[in-house]
Amino acid sequence: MLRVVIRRLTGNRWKAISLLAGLVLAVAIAFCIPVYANGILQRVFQKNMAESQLKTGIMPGYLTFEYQMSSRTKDSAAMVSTVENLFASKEHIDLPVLTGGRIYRFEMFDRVIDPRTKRYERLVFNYVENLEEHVNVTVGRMYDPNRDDGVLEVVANKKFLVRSKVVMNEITEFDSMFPDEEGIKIMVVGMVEPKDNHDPFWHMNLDTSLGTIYCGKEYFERRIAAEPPFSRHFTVSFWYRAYDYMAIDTDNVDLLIEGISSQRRAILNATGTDKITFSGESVLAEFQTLRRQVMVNLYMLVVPIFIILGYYVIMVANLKLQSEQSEIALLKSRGAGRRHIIRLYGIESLLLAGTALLAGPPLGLVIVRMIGASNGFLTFVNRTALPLVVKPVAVIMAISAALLFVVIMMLPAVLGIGGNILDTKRKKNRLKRPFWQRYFLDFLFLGLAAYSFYSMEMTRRLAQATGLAATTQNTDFLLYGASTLFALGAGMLFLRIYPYIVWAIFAVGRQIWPAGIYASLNRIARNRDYSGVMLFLILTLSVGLFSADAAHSINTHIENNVYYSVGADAQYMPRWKHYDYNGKEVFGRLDETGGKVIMEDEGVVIQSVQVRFYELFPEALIKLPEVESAARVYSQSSVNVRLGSYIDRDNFFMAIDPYEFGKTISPVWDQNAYHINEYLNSMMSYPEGVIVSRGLMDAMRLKIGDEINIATMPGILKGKVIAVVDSWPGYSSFTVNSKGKVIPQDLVVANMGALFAENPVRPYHFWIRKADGVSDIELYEALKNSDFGLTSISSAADRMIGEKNDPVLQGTNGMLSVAFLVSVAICAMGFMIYWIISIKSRTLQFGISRALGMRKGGILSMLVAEQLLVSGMATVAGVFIGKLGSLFFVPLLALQYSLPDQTVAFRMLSSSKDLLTVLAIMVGMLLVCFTILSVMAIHLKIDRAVKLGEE
Amino acid sequence: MEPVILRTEGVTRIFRSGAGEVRALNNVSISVPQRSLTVLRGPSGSGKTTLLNILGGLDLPTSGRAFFQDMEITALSEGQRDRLRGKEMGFVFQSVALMPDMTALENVEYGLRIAGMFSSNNRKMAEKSLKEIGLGKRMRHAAYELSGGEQQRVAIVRGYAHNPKILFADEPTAELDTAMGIQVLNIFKRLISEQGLTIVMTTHDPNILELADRVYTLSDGGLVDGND
Repeated sequence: MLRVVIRRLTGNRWKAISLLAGLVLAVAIAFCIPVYANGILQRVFQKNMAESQLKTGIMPGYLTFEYQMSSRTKDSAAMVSTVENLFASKEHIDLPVLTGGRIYRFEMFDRVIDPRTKRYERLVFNYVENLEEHVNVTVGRMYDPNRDDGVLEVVANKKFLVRSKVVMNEITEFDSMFPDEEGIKIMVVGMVEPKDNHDPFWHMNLDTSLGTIYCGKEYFERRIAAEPPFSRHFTVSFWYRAYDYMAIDTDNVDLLIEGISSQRRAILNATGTDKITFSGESVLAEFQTLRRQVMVNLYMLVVPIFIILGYYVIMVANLKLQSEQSEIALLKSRGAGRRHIIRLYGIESLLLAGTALLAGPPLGLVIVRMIGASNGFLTFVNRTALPLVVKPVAVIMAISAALLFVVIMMLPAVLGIGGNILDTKRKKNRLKRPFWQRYFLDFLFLGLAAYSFYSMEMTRRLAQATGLAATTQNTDFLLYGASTLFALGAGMLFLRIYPYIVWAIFAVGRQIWPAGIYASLNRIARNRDYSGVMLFLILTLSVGLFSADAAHSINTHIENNVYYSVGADAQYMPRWKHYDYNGKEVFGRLDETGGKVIMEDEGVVIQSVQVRFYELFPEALIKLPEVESAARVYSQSSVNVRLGSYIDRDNFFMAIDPYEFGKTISPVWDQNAYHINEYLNSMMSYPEGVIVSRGLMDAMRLKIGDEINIATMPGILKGKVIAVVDSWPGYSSFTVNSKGKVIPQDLVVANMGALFAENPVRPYHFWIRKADGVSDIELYEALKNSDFGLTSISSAADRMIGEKNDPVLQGTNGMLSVAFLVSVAICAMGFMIYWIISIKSRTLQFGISRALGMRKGGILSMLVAEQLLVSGMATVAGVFIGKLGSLFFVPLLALQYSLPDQTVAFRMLSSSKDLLTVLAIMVGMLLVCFTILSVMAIHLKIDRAVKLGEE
Repeated sequence: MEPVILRTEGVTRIFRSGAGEVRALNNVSISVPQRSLTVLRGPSGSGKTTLLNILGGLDLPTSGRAFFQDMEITALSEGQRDRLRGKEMGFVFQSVALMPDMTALENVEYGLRIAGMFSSNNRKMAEKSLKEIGLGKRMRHAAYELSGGEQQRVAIVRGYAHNPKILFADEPTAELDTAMGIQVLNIFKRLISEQGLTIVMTTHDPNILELADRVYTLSDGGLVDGND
């Protein structure tokens, strides 16, 4: 049987190859998702871990356990060994260990060094396991733990020898902190220095203000075992392990988190304490959330692609089956039963699937590379390649996809093979409506899509009103599926009524249609065979366009947000000099009021002086070649605004020079009723004018012309309301208050001239627009070296890179690009196959028409009419439905991509470039296909064509 | 005797395929008088269908010539032949040769259109002819819904609806029962006498052979009784 199948497949070569193409794509994509997810998550995870080290100064992966030996510790030795074992075992946390050990630390002795002031030194002793391997003895020698003359030998670091009054190589006596306990005699015999400060060994910061001293463990052990045992206050032991966090496999994060908990529990059980920390634990927890987001995102994006591929495979398998009807009839007449034939098709499908499993994964890896390099929709950059690790889950996904498609491929055979030989001629099921019409699937799909849309829209409105990024993991999953269902349902509905439209056209011009057009109109109106390919085209076009629109909207949204929230290319704070009221420059720290400078020494306040600032003007900056324009911007949050007796709090206040402001801000599309320059112009016309946000206007029931009092740091400013806006560069309508809660924030914008006319100057920023081609580094250097100096600078480009590196965004862009490309490719393939088969099967009819006297031109017009009515119309419908779907569903992406502190609302944006690309490809395909088909149809030999019908 | 409306001169047709050559016709010369019922008969493979195709301008001979009235159709371009055929000739094929999705009526109208006839009378004419041939009740059914015999009758109507000078028919009564076959014959006879149609057909039907004005027997690409 296998031989039969192979022979059949090679005979039906092109159809088999087309089926295979669809399968390979399906397997490749299923395979690539886990691989990509793994790669990107691994990269992000390590980056996050490294960043947390930068932020907290603590290396992640550091497990420590602090235990205070108390007088109640019965069997210290046993407990010590228990803990040692717990730490050493890999039972809970199975990661490579960089370093680890045990530290004893106690603080029990001090001595008075100045009897008059009673100043004293307190000794903190440390035993650090493996100290010798990590230090160099720079002076003297290492301590001898076995000295037995009652003197404890220690070594110390430089800080101790500098700060302490203890002299090296002299016996110094210390008293116990407890009156009735013995003191101790120590001798510092050496000074030590770390071999390598970056060694994770040094993470445990044992240093005190008096430096660090080290001694051997023997002393501790003697004291632990002694009677009476230690007082609980002063002995602490640490155990620590530094795990190599770079070796953490992102798949195992859950395991690791669980392992840390169980480690905690185990130690708690053994010792009764749980002062255990694992640095980077928060990163782990955040990562879990991130991973879920990335995975959900990827899987949800893949749904439309699989729907298209599934449809394509069914369509081609069906076409193939139909063209094999006579073969099947033959087999049946020779006694082959239904099951036998189905088994034949089953083997065929399995063969194809097997081949796809071989070819798919390599293609999948290519796709992973592509997604990993994506920096936007269909744009790719040369990043360092993602690590490509193939885990079992990827293979499972590939196999599952292959099996799924085997089932899909078999559907036409299983559902269609029935009836006997005689029926195959008559039972061409011409007027039988497509099955979806019988089961009203179009209404079902549209209903589902409408319901999903409704529920997601409600969630979105809620989120927008409250400023919460809705936890929308579930609804997101629906979104891409729902939009595809919409396309299917709308397409089906259109195809339900389309034949009637064509019939109407036919009937109206019945008298006048030339033969070719007559035939085509009649056929399209009567025969529903083509509705499959029309739906196919509508589906692929819709998905392609939706992907493009979604990607475009998301990317633009994120970019606009960055530009809008930073406001310009960069926000720059110069180094403001403080001057006292005599004009002398003073140095120190600025207090909260911004009007006083505090000078202190070692935490002690010496003096606080009233200071003033001299205004800095942008001309000095504009002189720099790196700066194209600059504007002064004073900003302050949590500002109170008063109208009459009503006070509104938590407002964001901005004072600007409107002209320079307009020249400096980034050109982002406008969100307000008028172009931003109009608002700036009014501010220039009304120096006392202020612009408020709509929220403030509503909250305070302001009218244009009202005068409000703004309590800024420099002082109270009176302003007349001259305009209201919904958004403003640098302003975000939500902010996080001191307690970490998200609260709405309103805006007041005033003229800087008005602010500082009545009030003392306080430090403000400059917003900068870079000159063309200037990099951030160049700008930074220029500003730093300028007269103004530099305190801080934040740039839009930096934030942009940060946003673009977000793994969820990358995955989204990548998958949407893949979806677009797949739709176009599948569209082309399905289109070609369908038409080639369709024309071939109608050779007889073409022959008849020619025999009756139709000229070649007539055949051509028949084909043109048919193409226009089927492919042309489907393209139009597909574009229309695709756009409609985008209009409905793309804005819902706001759920996923909106952040509470964003400044720009999510909008559906299409790139006309994408639409034109799609249309150009469709038209190109049509022309190519049409040329091939016409050649086929026209140059057939009439007599042979007619003979074809003879039995 | 009527003038000859159709004739061939030494027509030979060789088909070349991968396997070799097939000599379907070998130096055949026949003449068809106007207003006659001329029958080509012979076993399958004898070349009668090939000869029919050449006479109708559907195919070109490898050598030899064919004439319609005084025009050498073998010298015409394909477009000219198409036009000639559409206007002056009608075809009834052995295979079911209707456009399956069109109704019987539409099929006939379609044929009329190809022949270049766009009169508003078309429909009436078509209906009348279909009624005559006994398809009055069925003419609004789609072709695939009709039985084999009904389809054949539609094909016949389509063949002469545009008033051609010649009707070519390849086994037109093959799928009809005796009664139907006789009815069709009567229509043919009427068409010949009333409308001056000339009919060239292939058949096995003895009834038709009896009534034929001229019979040519072909065997293995050549005429059994020799050329005219």
